[in-house]
Amino acid sequence: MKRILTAELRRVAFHRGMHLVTLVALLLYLIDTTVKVVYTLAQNHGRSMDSYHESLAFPGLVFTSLGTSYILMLVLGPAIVALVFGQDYSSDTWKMILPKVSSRYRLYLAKSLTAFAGVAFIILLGQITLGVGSAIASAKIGARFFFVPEPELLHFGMEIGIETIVFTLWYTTLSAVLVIASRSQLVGAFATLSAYFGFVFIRMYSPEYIALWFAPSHFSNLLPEFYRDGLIHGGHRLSVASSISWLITGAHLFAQILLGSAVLKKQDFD
Amino acid sequence: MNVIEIDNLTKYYSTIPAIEDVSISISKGTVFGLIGPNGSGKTTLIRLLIGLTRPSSGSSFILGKNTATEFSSLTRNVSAVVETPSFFPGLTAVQTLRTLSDYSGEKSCERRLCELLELVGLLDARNKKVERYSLGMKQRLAVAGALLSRPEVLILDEPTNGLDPTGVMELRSLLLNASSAGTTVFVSSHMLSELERTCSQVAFIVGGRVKRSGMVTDLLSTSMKMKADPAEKALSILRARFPVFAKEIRMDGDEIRIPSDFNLSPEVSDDFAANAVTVYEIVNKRLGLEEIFQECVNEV
Repeated sequence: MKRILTAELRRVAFHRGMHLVTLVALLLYLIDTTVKVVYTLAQNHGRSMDSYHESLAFPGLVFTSLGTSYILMLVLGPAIVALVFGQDYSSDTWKMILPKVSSRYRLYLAKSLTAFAGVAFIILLGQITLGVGSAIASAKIGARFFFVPEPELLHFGMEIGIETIVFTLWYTTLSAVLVIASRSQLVGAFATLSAYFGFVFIRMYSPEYIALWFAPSHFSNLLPEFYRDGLIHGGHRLSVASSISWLITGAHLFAQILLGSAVLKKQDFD
Repeated sequence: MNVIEIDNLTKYYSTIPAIEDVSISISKGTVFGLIGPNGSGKTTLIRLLIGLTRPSSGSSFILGKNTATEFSSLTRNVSAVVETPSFFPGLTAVQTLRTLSDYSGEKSCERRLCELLELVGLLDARNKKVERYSLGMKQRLAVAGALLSRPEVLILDEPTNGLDPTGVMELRSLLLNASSAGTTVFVSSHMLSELERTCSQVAFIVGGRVKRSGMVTDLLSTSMKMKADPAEKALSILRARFPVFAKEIRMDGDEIRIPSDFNLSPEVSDDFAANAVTVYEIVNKRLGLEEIFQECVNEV
């Protein structure tokens, strides 16, 4: 398993598609960071200190960055999954790999972990970019880089962090199933986006007992406040008992991994 | 025990048969050649052998394991190159071999990788990206990848595609060396002269069915060709005289094909004379794989 994972990680690391995804993400992060830093610095000293402590000081910047990463990930996530799983269909490299691996389940798991690592790398890139911007801003205005205004904020931020990890796992495994089932990078990636927005739609406009089963869109909580208010009507939908939501999300994850590996196991490569 | 045992293997794509009732047995250390025109089912048979696809009926075994259900336990013993090899974008030859080695769960040291690359003549191009390789170089790299795990069974689909004459010769000696070391080689190719030199056993597959198979030494027989007038009359006399060989005595164009060990006794000449058959020419001709292949195709 470890060796298969190494092989997959090596392939992704040297893939031009991954380099392009990284470049696009980096550019967007740089623009986002520049806007945030310039906005903070452009105000008078008092307001700029407040603004800095609210969204740019560590650990607050982690949550600010996650908001940007979340939106970016909706598009780049399926792209990375399509690279990891779909490339083997488009270039017919399954015929090289499958006669070598001792278990398709292990291969599927290794590919899923690689896709997750790719998405996590993009998220980390956002953290680093904003971190550097924040450090520059703190030096300019003389603010403290480490600043925790109130413990609740830290707690709330940690929740968001965990949700991000779980959502990333859920989203990449969903995308993997769709790429494997469609045997196409493009169809799989578009199907993932459609499925995601389908879930959000169902949660928004269906009774609570139905919406509950589409719990992963609960993680639309990750959207920054102003986006969330705009997108999600009826905020009460987000108050679905969180423990049940977590259970259902876990069930989704488990089912998606099982389904994806079973589809791969059964597939013929004629 | 046979290393490869194919038993009435059949594969349908919806209602169209890709291969039908194929049965082949290959013993250890044999270099086996699968010969057939394009679309005859060679690649399908190979994909079935390495578990990439499942048969509609019948079964195939490698080292006693069913390839449809137990191939995962054979990955260290069996290596294959299927059709034109496709590789992972962005990787060099060394990285590609290392990646393939990782997939098979084995650790290959730099020295082993370089040895293999030297064996297939790619050592100088080891740090070049594989996507910039020519078809012949990719083919060589695929063979190196197949040899990584020192397999007991090596399956190669059209390995001479894109190879220059030197490459073909090198591949031949590589396969013969592997065979003498005990590796069973299953190779499909269009290069009949090459297979004639390399293989000890062959099978001709046309339209998804095995038309002829056997040891190359048995198949490469010498036959006689007779020109006679009227040819049909001569054919029926020969068949009546030698009913045991009735199937082997046959028309080939306007000539009659007769097995080489055939003794045209004086009684035959008497029959010809009695029936006003004139014999113009009798020629001994050696039958190569190419002629047998042509016969198999013509039969269909």
